[in-house]
Amino acid sequence: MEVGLRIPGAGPNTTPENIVTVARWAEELGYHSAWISDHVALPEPEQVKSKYPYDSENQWRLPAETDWLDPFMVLAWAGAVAPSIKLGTSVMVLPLRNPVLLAKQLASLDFLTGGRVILGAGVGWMKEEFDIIGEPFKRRGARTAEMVELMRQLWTGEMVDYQGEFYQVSNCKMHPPAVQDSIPVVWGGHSDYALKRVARLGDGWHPTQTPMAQLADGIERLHRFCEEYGCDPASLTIIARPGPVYPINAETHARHQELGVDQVVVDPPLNDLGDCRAEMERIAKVCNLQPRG
Amino acid sequence: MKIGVRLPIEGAKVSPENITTVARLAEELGYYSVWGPDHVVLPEKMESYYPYDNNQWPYPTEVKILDPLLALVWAAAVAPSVKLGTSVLIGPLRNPVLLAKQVSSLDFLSGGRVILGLGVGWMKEEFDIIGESFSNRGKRTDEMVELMRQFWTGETVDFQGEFYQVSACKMHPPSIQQPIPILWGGYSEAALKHVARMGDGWAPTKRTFEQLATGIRKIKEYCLEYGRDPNSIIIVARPGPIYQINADTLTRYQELGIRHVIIDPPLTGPDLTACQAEMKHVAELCGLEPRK
Repeated sequence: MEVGLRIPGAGPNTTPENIVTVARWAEELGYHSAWISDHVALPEPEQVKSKYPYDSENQWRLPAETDWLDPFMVLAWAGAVAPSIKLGTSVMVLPLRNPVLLAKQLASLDFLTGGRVILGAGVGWMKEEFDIIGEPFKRRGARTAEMVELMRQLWTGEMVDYQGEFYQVSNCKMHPPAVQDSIPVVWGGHSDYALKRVARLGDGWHPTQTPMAQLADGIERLHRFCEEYGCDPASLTIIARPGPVYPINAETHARHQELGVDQVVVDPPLNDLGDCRAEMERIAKVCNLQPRG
Repeated sequence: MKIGVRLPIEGAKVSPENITTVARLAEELGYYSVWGPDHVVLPEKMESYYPYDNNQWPYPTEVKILDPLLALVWAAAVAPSVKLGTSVLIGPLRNPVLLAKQVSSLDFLSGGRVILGLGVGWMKEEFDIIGESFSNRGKRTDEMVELMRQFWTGETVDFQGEFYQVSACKMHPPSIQQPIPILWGGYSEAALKHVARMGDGWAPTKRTFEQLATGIRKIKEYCLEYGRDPNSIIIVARPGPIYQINADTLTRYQELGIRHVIIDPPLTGPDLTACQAEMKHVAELCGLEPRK
């Protein structure tokens, strides 16, 4: 099983140097990938009426001054100094963006890094952020599905012809194309809606802060939807990110393997880089990662 | 004299290795800045009026062009001192909130090295593909700049424009430079007015010395009109293939008060030899101080 980790591109200790340090440690210790989350501009927490799905009271608590670097800038910065690790978003809120511009940046990042991009995709939950950027919140799921279909056409470098409900693009090409045959898209979210999207559109599921029982249940539901949509479950990549919900130890590691989880993204503490390094070493040992020479 | 160089982010020589090579050579030779152009996607059929190269758009639909901000962050990671500029980024193809975020993130990661060269664009087809309005692009770009400058402070944003309305939010981290310098491309009256009214400078591309002199004179006149100090305007000329950089052209720059020039070294041949030779030649000619 592969292991990835969050790098300090958001929150405490966000600095250019710390991103480089942690990315190089990941490279050295045999981590598979580096991940970064996504917020563009934030209202004060008391003004956020949207329900934050990862809080017991559904309350968003982070101040508007929380550092949050652009995921593309962080991943290119890390990719330039760490030559082997994959570079993922966990997750990028797709419908805040324009699919043509997004496809360009993903293809450019994939090109610069020699095909190392993994797109963790979300449809978002904070309506206030959609309002700030000026994109509609309603029907964002359906719009995101179209975005991915259109981006996949653009990444081929072939002539594009896409006629969707939200996007219509034709008679143009985007070059250079992505280095990977197609940039893998792994979807966040736990609802039936989200899981159906995975079965329908591929390439994988990326549940975050999900208790083990819920993870097992999600995988079971996903397999059921796969049958419904004629998708081979073996073609899907499962990348779990427990966050603070449970620790990575011998027991949870074994359970992940039983469930057929392909990769785990861990969140080492970033308040102190010494603690971060220690946790990275501990997890590398638990998961038997092979250091890179 | 400050010299900048265009990175190989478009055409046949586009590769991560070549960007690294040119950025590191620029760093070593004492170049001031590295630059990247901007196209997102190209139409099969192009009918817009191309303002350069005798109005003949020279590129096929398959020409490789990397996203400029990603190419610049890549260069920033391998070359620690050179400034990072866009020449020019088409503002109104983009959302100002998302653009403000990426530009301030690049400024933060690079320790305050961004120069944002902005254009309003000319290729209507590209606007159509992306789904942004072409007809209001000039006025919209004005608003984008005002809004982005608010975001870059890290303070609470309150902006009520004709095209954009944003309030009660912050963007962090703020940019390192306060503010990030914005240069306007273009040569039209509208472009020159923009420079005087709200630009930090002017970034003309492929202009003759006569045109540069005219542009500078007009900007000075507009500066008087808008109550702006003309000496506060930065001018970054990019001749492209229009003329060579030599002792004579350096004198003419001096006469015009131009102190920053971007060169486009040749990207012909099987490797970067011609590009590197030209970069060394111009560095010697301009007496650049190599960095240790």
